[in-house]
Amino acid sequence: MDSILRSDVKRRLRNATAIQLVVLTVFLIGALVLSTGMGFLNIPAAAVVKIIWNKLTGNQALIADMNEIFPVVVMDVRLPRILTAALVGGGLAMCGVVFQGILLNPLADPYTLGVSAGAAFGASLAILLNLGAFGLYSIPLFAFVGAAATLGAVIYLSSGNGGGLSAGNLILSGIIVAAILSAGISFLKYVADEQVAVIIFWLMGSFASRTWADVALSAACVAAGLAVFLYYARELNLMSLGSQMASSLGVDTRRVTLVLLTAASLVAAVCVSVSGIIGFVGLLVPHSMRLLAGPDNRRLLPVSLLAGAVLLLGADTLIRAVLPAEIPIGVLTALIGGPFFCYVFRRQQAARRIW
Amino acid sequence: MSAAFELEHLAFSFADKRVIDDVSLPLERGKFHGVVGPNGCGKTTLVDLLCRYRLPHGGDIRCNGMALGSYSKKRLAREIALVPQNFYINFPFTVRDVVMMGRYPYLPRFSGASPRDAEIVAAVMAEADVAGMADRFITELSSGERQRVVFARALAQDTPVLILDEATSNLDIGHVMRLLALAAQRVRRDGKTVVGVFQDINQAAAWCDHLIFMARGRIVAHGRAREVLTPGTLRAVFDVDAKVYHDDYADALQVVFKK
Repeated sequence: MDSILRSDVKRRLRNATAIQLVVLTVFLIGALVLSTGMGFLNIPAAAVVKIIWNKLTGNQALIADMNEIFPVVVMDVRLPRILTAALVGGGLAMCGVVFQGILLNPLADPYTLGVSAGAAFGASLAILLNLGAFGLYSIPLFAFVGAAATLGAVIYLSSGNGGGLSAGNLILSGIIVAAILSAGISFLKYVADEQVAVIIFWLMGSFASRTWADVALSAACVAAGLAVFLYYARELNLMSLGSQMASSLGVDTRRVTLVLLTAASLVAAVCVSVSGIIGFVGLLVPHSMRLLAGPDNRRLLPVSLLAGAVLLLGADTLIRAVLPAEIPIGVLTALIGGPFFCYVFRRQQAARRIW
Repeated sequence: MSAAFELEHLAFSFADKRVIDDVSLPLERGKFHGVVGPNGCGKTTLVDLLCRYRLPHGGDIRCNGMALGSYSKKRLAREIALVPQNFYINFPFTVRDVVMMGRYPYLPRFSGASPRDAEIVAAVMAEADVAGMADRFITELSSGERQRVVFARALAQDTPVLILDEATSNLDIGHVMRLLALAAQRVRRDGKTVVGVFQDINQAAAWCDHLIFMARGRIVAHGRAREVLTPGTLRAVFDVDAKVYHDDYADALQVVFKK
């Protein structure tokens, strides 16, 4: 009886996607305004809204009688960091949904395929060689190239005769390539001398001193990614029946797999390149949102995007404005997300009926 | 009488192993075809080739006189539906969601299901005896129940050709009879073509018009059940001693085996 009741609740939740989206959006906007006000210098929420509105409309009267440092703090320091955190959170969560859908595994995330390791390797190399050829964008560019090359290697390894690009092949290839890359990163750290600290801090992830350029880059990638993912959302649903079944239903599984994997890896690479390694968002958010919104990717994608944004924004605000010392955000998400995930996973295992 | 499928000198290998070896065969339209043979004889590969899930390394398959390769993916999905042998799903879709996926080949991108799609889905769920679990999660069903859902999903696809790859292997006898009767009804009433891979030779004998015996990737015998289902064929294919007789109660040829 209990389980029937629970199923009924789940079904009702699934059909309330519109409400979930509205609630999450309101949450996100509220969190953006509140967290912008929080920090070393406390700025009232009303002032934050006025400053943003002033920037959007050019109405100078709004900020006339305000402490003149406020607009600078909001526009040049806090908002870029906060928006980047939200965009990266949303992007990672969305990529998690896609990786899980393609790999038929609710426990897959942007790390499973070694994409993040590739991005980390590329960025470490850029830091080590002190490459400034592309200015501000050198580290993101190298991270991106590393991720793309890794994805290429993984796809090459796992495509073969017949059942090419199967979920199992992809995961195995990802593990192999990631293992090689992590040895490569260790080597780079070993030879890095005084730059080793920079590499290590970058790898632990941080949103400190992000710029509007980071915001623009991540916003463009997340928006493009969302468009591609939503375009193929129904195919992704069918792929969860397995590639043979999806194929017999008229899905070009090879093409859909390639397009979605590439798009998701590139979005993940950009996220990693602007923020460093931030684990568990891409795993935890889709997993818990699936309980809320159901497995239909047309609903799950936008819901996960918003939830991921709220989550990472919250986590970044916590370390920036609440905790006494600023610890790396990748460490925080792993320390909190890991055990929480163990709990969720264990509870699900216990509830699963064995046939 | 044109054939639903014509196979010509079909060949397929895994690495160096020939799994399908020079298979030529017409599959007549409007008939229930049964494929039987020992484990590893190439039955499932043959099915994969018919669905174009795998591409042949040699030879040719024509469907309705047209090369299988000339069909677009979606067009082919409106021609051929498949009930696979194994089915595993990790995501908690409801049973209705899964059956509705059978309508995918007919839905334009971004548009939802029409009332007619909903009607078809409701009808096939009733027929496959899964209507009672329409709102349950597929992940919570037993393997037999899941197989019935997948069967309903294939019927919802409403194609001229239905392929069953040991589609009843996890079912109790009541549901085996019910689902095979549904498939047979599609053949007799609607003139559809069914190709079924069978493990149980007596099920194949009871339901199929034509039998195809395979061994080591080749066709050993092919034709009307009463012509090809003989002790000699069974000896050659399965290496067993068997008696074939007409059973009045089942009103079909049946086989018993010597221990």
